[in-house]
Amino acid sequence: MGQTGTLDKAATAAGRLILEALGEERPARSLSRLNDSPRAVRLLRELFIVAVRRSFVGREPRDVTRYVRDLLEYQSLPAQGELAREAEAMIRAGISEPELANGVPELRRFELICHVVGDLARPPGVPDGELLALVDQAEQRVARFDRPRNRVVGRRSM
Amino acid sequence: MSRNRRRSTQRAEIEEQVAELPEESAEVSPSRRRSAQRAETEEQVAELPPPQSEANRSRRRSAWPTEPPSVTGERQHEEHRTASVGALSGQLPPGMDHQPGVIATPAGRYLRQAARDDAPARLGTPPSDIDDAARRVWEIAFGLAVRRRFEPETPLTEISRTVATAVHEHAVAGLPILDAEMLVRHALGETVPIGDIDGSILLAVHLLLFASLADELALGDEELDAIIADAEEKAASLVPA
Repeated sequence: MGQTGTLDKAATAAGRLILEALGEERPARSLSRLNDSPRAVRLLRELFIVAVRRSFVGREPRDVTRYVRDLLEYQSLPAQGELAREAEAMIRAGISEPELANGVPELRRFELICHVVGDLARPPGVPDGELLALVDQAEQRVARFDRPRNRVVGRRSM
Repeated sequence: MSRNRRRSTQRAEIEEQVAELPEESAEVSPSRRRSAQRAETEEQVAELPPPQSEANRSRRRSAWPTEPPSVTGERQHEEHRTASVGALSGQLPPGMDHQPGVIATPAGRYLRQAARDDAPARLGTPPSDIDDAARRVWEIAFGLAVRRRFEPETPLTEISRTVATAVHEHAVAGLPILDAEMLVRHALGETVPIGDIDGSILLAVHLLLFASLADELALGDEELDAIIADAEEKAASLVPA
C-alpha cells in the first residue's frame, strides 16, 4: 500500500521519506529505519507533536493512558510498566507538560515517536489530505524553530 | 594577579568563618576520636581469645555473675525489641493491641515525623533498615491520604498539580513526577501502568507524598495520628495469623 498520490506533494525530501514510510505495511518499523537521516528525524519529531496535539488536545487527559495501553497491547509490547509510563510522558510532554519527558532516554524517545506517529498518522485511518496537512505543518514547525541557515527552502503552502 | 588576590581574599574569609565556628570543629574531632577508638577496639578484639560458650559470654557481659537465666532472657528480649525499633518495623510490639488514633509502631511514628518534617526523610530514604510491615503501613497510609485528598474522578490536572508541588517541595529526593502521579492514580483505583517501579522510588513516594498531602490537607495532629493508626491496623489485618 503506497502513498504515491501524496508523495510528490511533500515539499522536502525528508517529508517524502516519512510519507513513504507511513504508507508501508508496518509504519513504525519503516519510520525507525529513517534514523540515519537527521532531517527526517527532525521532521518526525515535529510530526509527532502535530499528530499528538491534533489527537489529544481538548480531550480528557486520561484518554492518553487508555490510548497508550491500547497501542502497546496492539504492538504486543508490555503495557503495564515503564514503557507505558514513558509513552504517556512523551505524549503529555508534546501537549502541555514538557517536563514529564525529561528522564526519557533519547533512543527510547525515538522508538516511541515512531510507534505513535506510525499509529496516529497511518494512511488507512488518516485521509491523504489530512496526512499531507500534518506533514506540512510539521515542516513549517521545523522551518520556524530551526536556525535560518537550516530552514526548508521551497516549502509548499497548503 | 587579580584572580590570585581574589583567591587569597576568599581563603581569608573562609578562615574567618571557620574561626567563628568552634562547634563544627568540635564536631569533627569526636569523629576522629571515634575512628581512633574503633581502631583501638579492633586491636583489642584481635587480642582477645575466641569466644568459648554462650553461657560464658553472657556471664562476662553481666554485672552480676549470679544473675538467674530468666532475667538474662528478659534482657535479651529487651535488646531484641530495641533492635526492631531501630530497624523501623511496622509490626505491633508483642502483647500490644491497637487503640484508635494511637500510633503503635516505629514505622508509624517515623511516618508521623516525616509528615511533620521532623525526620531526616528529605531524600525519601529512612535512616535504617525497614521491614515489609513498615512498607505496608506507609503504602496504606499513602492510599488513605490520597483518597482523603482526591475523589476518584478528580481532573487529572488537579492531581498533576498536587504531585508537581510535592515533587518540587522535595526536590532533593529527585522523585520521578510521572511515577508519583501514577501511584496516586493507582491509589484512586485507576488502571495505570505501575509495574516495575523501583522499590526505593515506591518508598520515597509513599513517604514524601504522604507528607505533602498531610500538609496540603492541613491535617491536625489528631487527624494525622488517626490516619497512621488506621493504616497500622489495616496493615496488621493483612498479615496472616
